[in-house]
Amino acid sequence: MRQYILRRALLILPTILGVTLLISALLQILPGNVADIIVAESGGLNPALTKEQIEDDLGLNESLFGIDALGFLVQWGQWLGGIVQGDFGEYFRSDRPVIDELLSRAPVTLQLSAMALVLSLLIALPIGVLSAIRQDTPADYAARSSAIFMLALPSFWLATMFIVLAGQYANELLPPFIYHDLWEDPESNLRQTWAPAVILAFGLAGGVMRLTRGQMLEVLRQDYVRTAWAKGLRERTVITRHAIKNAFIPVVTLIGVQVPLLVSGSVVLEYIFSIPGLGQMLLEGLSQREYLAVLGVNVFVATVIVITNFAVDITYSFLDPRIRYA
Amino acid sequence: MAIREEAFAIPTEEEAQQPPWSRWLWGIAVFTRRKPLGAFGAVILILTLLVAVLSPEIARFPYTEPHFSDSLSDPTSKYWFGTDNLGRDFFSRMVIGTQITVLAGLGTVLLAAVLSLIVGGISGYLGGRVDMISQRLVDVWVALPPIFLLLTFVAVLGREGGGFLGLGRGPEVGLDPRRGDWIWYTFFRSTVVIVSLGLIFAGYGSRVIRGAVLAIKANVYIEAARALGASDTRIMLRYILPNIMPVVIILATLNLGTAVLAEATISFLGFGIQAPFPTWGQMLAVDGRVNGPEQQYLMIVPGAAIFICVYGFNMLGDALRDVLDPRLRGSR
Repeated sequence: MRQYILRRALLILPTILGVTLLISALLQILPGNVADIIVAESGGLNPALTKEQIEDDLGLNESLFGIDALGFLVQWGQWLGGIVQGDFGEYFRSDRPVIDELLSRAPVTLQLSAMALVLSLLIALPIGVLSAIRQDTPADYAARSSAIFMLALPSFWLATMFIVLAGQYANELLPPFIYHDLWEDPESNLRQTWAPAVILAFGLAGGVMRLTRGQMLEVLRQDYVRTAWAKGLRERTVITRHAIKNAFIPVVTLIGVQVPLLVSGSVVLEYIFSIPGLGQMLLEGLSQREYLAVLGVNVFVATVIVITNFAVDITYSFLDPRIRYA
Repeated sequence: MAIREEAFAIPTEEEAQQPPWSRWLWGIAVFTRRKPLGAFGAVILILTLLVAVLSPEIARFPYTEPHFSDSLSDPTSKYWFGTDNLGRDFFSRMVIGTQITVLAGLGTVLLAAVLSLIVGGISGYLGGRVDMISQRLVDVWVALPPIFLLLTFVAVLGREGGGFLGLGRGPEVGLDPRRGDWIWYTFFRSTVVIVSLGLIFAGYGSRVIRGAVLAIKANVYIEAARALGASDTRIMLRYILPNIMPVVIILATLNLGTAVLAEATISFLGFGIQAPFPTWGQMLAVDGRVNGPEQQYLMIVPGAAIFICVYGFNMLGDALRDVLDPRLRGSR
């Protein structure tokens, strides 16, 4: 067991290093005039900003062994050294440290994702279980087709329709203009986040529902469930004690799979509902060419995902001892 | 002829002597009866393809032609889906937008299939150190949330005035690409999206292909082929490739819906194909969000089109998976 955890943990660092290298390399293929564009667009907002400064920040004028194309390796090294000390660089326009922005936005995305995750489990688990117990009944068909619908419904379509229709018929449902922190003003915060959380949960629930149903069906066919029935146990006991416990194990891993989906989904919904989370930071960074902020968000999110996946794998191996020997 | 339950089953001797088209028709009939939703998805796919191919003929007006006196019109016999705020015919714009849906969707799926075959195939077949290293690289690839990587790619590769290697730049296009050669014009507009999406999908795809190759490699007939002196290339191309084709086809069909949805998402966010060329996601963002309050068709039509396509393609993928390779059931 300890060996398994150690082996998995050893993979975390190279993966994160690889992510940073990949993103640094992406910067290298930016067209050469990018520094000019940034200076021109910032329009003197930051007088200290010059072309040389930006090229230096982005490592565009570095070279290794006299080869310009390898310059990103130098820049990668410098940037990595900064990250280790918690320094992700600064915004070109405002000199604001990227790390400050990351830390102030991460809780917002975390809150939205957590709400969506809990909601999706609340919707999907009971329906998935019910759908398996009552296999091939109208209720099962209804649950299955709604799961397929949920998987195909574009979240940005739902969100657009919600905003437009609420604006016309139910103004009180519209999100407030200014975002408030959950601890500062819970009511205003929830009025802004409930709709995106529900929409996000909808998209996730389809997948969880299908997996839960599949797992339940598999478990219900097992010998130990038949034994439980043969002992004359009540249906409720068979389902809760014998079936659900075993069926939910793989569902735990799905939560790990969902983290990237949650973050991805929140990009679109943060944009539509103007919630200042990491997704919005990415979009703003891209459209304003604040590439150090883009790099920072990517590395930050990738790190969170790698660590969650690790945690989920470890939990899974505790729940299901067979995995460790696989 | 006895009633056969399995679609795509090996034909009996009697059937094999019939002309191929009659066997295909029979196969389609069996598939439709056993997988009605899959058949529905196939119909949607064929319809989308037809609309895209014939789009210059179907569109009733040039997609940029304004009719200011008729702006934000309701659906009428002249404007089937109404008009947007400039009075452009929404139906024509939807039809032209299908070109992007089809090209970006199919292009992505093809690129992803080729890349994941190469990476997954080599990794699975050679095994050992090559497998270890390439799998760690794939780890890095899939560690990033898809949309983050996608948006970063699109922003880095595609840039006004020509991006990396000239991607996203095409032959200069007038306002209305002439009929016939639209694929040439539209394809270049979508190259950035295709390359970005294809690279991202290939990461996940190569995992699936690698798994399939490992399973096939364990078969005795591979060992037999090797004992007969077949080279690695021959084994890969003649023995393994045909056997993983079902997996590739299923993966591609399942990816098609996701690709269409992803293209719509980045166009919705304003990073995809640029206006005035219409795409469904961009129309939903521009016309739907801005003019939706006055003319609700503008937000319902593009969203519904995206939804129906994604739903249909997913159904087709699910059905093909059940028919071609039931072992993959639940892998998604």
